[in-house]
Amino acid sequence: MQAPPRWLRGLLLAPGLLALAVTFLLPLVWLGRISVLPRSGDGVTLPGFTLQAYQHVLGDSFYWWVLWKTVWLGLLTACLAVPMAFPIALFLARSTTRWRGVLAALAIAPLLTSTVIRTYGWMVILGRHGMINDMLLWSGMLAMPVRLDNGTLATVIALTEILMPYAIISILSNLGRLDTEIEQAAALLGATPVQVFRRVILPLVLPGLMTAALLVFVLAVSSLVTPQLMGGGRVFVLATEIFNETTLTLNWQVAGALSILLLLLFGGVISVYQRILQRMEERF
Amino acid sequence: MNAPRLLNRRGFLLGATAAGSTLATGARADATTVLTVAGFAGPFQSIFRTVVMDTFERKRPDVRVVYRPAMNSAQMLAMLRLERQAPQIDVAITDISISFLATAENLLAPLAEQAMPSLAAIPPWGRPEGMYGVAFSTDNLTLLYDTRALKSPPGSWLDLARPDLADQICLPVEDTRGVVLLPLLTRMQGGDYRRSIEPGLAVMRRFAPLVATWNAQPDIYTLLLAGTVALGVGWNGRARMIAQANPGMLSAVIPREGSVAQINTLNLTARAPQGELAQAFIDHALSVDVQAAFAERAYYGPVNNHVVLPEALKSAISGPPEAAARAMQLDWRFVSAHYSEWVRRIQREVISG
Repeated sequence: MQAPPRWLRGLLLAPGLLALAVTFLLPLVWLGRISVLPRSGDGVTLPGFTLQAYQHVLGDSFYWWVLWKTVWLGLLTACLAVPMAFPIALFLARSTTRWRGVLAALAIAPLLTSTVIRTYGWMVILGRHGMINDMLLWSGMLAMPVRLDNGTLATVIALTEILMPYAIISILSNLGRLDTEIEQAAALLGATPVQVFRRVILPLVLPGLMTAALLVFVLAVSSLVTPQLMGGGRVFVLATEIFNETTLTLNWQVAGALSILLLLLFGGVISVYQRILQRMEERF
Repeated sequence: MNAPRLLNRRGFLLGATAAGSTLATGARADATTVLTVAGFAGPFQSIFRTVVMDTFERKRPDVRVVYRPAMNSAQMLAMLRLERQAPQIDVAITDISISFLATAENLLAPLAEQAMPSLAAIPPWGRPEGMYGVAFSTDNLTLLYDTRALKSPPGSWLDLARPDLADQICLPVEDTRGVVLLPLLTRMQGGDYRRSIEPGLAVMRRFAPLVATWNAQPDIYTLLLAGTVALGVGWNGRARMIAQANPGMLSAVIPREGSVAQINTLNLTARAPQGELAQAFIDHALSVDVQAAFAERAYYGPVNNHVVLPEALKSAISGPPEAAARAMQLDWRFVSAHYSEWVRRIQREVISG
């Protein structure tokens, strides 16, 4: 079949590119512009150009600490969500029951509910008068309720549960492409089920696990609602800082600089991910 | 064969009615001048609509006042900045700190004294230097508590350090509440916030280990009603409105050390589409009757010197005489200039420290 002419390809691409330019590039340029506007000592935004906000952010150890907390929270969430999602995805992929479709739908059903609602759900479960505290008090294991909500622990628990469906979908799509005959061949050649898993399944699904981890990491790092609702003001991550600088301290320049920093962080993580993936492909 | 009828009698009547009403609406819109007011969403909006906007529309039947709600003053500032070249808002209601900022950024216009007789009744603190806007109402910072959990009401700001209330305290101080609490705590320690807020920060650090949440979500009033926390700080007006709607669940107390008020301001935007009308509206909002009615409905302090409130209402707004006598007047120009720095210090030295 003859390839479509270049002008037609350009024409077909144009609506998408235009939408991307209007909804992504233009706001990004606008954000960059805000971040370089001068700001007086009493908070007044002035016309001109300065890298003051970037100097302020990069020279302040607090923001480096926030950056580290953000990366740590993202990594921890990814490290918890992916291993928990993998067995579910594997079961769904290998299941031959006629209920498979229903089970798969149930696994990703939480995505039908808003993140805010699910986070509120965790607030009810982990709260001072929540289900867990009530059970521990009732069983006599506790004399007084303990604080499970309003902190990093609560944020990690909620983020892990909220982002797990994304990991399941990502791993499931990878497992779907896996040829089961390879595993059967390994078993016929005398490999134990553990060896089949370690030497055959795991290397083949590793890129899928990596993609799932990347997805969870990016979503965790950029999430605002869950750290804000579950953190009780104690969880400082880049997203909450950007929100605070925009709406509380009204330092839009710093908010802009932090947003650009977050974007660079994503860029860095994606390039590291691609390198790891490349090495893995070379190795296996 | 009969051709299908494009329009039966019923359809014609419906169409004619619709067209007639559209034309009528258009005609009404032409004869009406629209004044746009941007202000806080929520209970403030509904009371402002009834007490200020509806009464103004009755006075000026040729005017229709439209309210553009915003979540907070920061959003209002964002709207003003975005519309700098072509303003759509005539009057902006903001916190006093935002009024200073917007004045400095040339987003607001000065008010014409001669066109606004009510301005003469506004005390100097309601029209400080460096701010084009004018105070509209005040709201005191109070201690809020769950009346089911605390048998006796708290009486001092230092009750926030009561060990028996560990993990039951909500201290949302990353905003104006913290910014006004700091000078008050500093004064309680014998300090002056203009020199240093260190004494106030030291007291806040004493509260820190007992705090369950610093970031009240959804808000402190809901957390108190749900019994999630037992004590915290919040705004008097809203607390009293909520307490009235939920009897026997929460209450607000102005502690004996006194309180400090945050001020809501009315601001004329620079190059407002209806500049003259906007000033007439602001003048109406500052008039004695409107100010008294707003205080009665919203428990917000009036700013017009000629307003006389019943004793009970005065006490509900400013606290008992002992506390009212110790009310703190802030130098808002100074506070506004230090707002970001103080919030940052609270975040870093109290919450994350």
